[in-house]
Amino acid sequence: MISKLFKQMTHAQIISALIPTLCMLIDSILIGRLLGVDAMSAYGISAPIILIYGAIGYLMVNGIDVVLGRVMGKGDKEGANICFSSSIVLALAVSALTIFVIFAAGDPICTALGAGSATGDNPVFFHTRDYLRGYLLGAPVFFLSQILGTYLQTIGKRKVLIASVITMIIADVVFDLASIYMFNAGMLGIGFATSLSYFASFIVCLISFLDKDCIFSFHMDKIRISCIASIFREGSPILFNQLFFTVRTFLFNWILLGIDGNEAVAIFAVFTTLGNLIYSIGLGSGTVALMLSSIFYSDEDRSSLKSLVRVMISYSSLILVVTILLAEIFAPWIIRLFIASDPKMIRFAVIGLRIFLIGLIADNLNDVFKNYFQGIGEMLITNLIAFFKCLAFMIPCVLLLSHIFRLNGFWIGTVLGQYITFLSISVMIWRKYGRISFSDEAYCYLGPDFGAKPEDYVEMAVKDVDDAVLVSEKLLGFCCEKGIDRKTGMLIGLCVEEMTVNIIEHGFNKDRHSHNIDVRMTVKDDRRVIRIRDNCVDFDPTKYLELHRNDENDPSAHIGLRMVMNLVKEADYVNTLGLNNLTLVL
Amino acid sequence: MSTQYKLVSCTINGKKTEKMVDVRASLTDMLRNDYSLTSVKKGCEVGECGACNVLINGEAFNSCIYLAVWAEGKDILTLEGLMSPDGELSDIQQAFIDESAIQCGFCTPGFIMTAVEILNDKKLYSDEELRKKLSGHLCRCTGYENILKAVKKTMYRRLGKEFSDG
Repeated sequence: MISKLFKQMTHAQIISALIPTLCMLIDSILIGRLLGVDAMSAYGISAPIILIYGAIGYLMVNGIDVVLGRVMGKGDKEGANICFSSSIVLALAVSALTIFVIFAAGDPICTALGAGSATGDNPVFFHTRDYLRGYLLGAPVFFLSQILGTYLQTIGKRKVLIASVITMIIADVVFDLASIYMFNAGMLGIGFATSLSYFASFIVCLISFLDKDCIFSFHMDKIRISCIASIFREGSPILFNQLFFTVRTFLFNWILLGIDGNEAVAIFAVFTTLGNLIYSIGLGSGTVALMLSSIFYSDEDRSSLKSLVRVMISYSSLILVVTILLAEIFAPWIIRLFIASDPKMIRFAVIGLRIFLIGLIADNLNDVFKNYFQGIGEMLITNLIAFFKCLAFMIPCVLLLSHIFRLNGFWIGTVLGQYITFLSISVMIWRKYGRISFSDEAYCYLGPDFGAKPEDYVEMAVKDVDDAVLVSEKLLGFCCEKGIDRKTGMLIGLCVEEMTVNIIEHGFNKDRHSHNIDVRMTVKDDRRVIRIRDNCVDFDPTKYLELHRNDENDPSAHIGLRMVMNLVKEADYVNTLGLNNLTLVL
Repeated sequence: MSTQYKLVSCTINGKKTEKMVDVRASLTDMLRNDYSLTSVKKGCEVGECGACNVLINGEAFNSCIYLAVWAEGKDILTLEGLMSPDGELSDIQQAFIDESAIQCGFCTPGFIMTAVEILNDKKLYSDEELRKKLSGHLCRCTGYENILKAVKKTMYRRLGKEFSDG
């Protein structure tokens, strides 16, 4: 189930990460072709502010992923709404600040960025200021659509998320063209078109939250400063990452200038653009890894974390290997899209790209592990991986190899830096466990005291009725092993059998997808906790019984559900990531 | 509503049997409805009263909270299986009659099946231990003294010891 969930979420997240990059690409093409060289320069000059703006959004999304994951993992609906309400206020506050800064201090910012001063013979300055004003005016919808995307993933509305990003790209193109051809609004129009496209995306996201059954709802009395602080704290590794990345880009450009001048820098700029597109895969799978690891970590679910580690390595690598193979094959054509004239430069760039692409596999693995470690609260390792992959291992490798093999050495250095960083994760695992291990257990990086001891829990997957029977029998045996009295053991088996057969009978055939059920029973301090998790359509048995309490036409109606709810001491339901999670305590 | 069925093969009162049963049916339902073994009483149906007790592989279980599908491959004994082929009652059944340990008779089959488990242990239990072992049964009419006496008397007889009613 974890594997399937990871794949579904990753697809949505990759598209979500890819589309803004494509939007920027579209903006740059339209500006370059329709608004001229000055406008294009202004676009390039604005880039640092746009990057910072994006990083703030990503910080919030990352922080929410962790904070929300922790509360959802515990099934804490109140905590989830506190996170929701607080993050909405945070997004609005950051938006207000952004708009204030760009309107109050737009001129000095543009000058500081290198756009020159506000004089009549300097159109670049005005283009830059207009673009930033138009772009940042949409800050509220930009930040809100970003964070609502996270909540959409959490409630399993992946199709809505994809619909919102597709709406955004269509709206961006339409509004861009309208601003140029209908309103002649220049760079202000192009910037504002992006804001409007985020507004369209926000509206699509918002519809899901207006549903009265949605678990997230905004309440003023649920806003907590402590929650906002947690979002910032948990999302902070992204700031370190951005910082290391910026220093790396600066050092790379400096090294490249020394090797082969502007041509090498231009080739690297092409690779960065391509890398950003391919990097969407790493970004997508990394975000999903962060979200899932936070939830499973909080749920103290060791086996789900193990499954997550397995699937995040295998699946994200698989997508990336296929993409990179295609890019390797089509490298000459790809390069010609960017570099049209110089055959020597094209030849160098093709060789360089083919080498550079190999490093992206390890780059992706480093990123998913970085996010995974962030999800399980290992902040030091998270920041260390970012530091290693950007600077500590990368720069010496690049410096050394470029000194020996010139430009090709530089590309090999970037590959080596990524693989050494990945190797360093194994070294950190060796330090923690005192032995070399490549098992999923070791890469989970969990202490021996994490969660229930292996002898205190049992978990099984249910795919059909035979499995349901088998699970109930296995629970009977487990209860016997744990010294639980026979009657309680039988009642546990009975409840689980009843609920799983119910799910198979009513949930498995509701749609065309294949379904699974995971059953876990934990015994801790005389508490027998059973969690039944399935990926069928949403169904809250506690709420359902509440709604049908007064159905008197058929006294035997819902007898199985009623029996289970009467037998258990506590029953709690929560839908997380589109999965039904029913927790029963006996 | 569709129902899920599963083939359950088991031995009931010494006879090998096979039946398709609803996976959510209790053993009580299977024994009563599919095999007409009506000594298995439907009482509380939550494992509290013991009226449905049967022996599964020699151990007494509340069949109302024991799923029929769990009986796959098991050896089940109900009150009907205690009689000899010529219809003669077993010693424990006879003891219940002799000691007037019956009034309405609803709880009796369950009591007797638990008593069979106790007697099969071939141990001499104290009154206190017997009371504890029989505590999973509820009787609304006779009180428990005669029932205890019937079990105790049979236990002594089987162990070849002299029983004194004191």
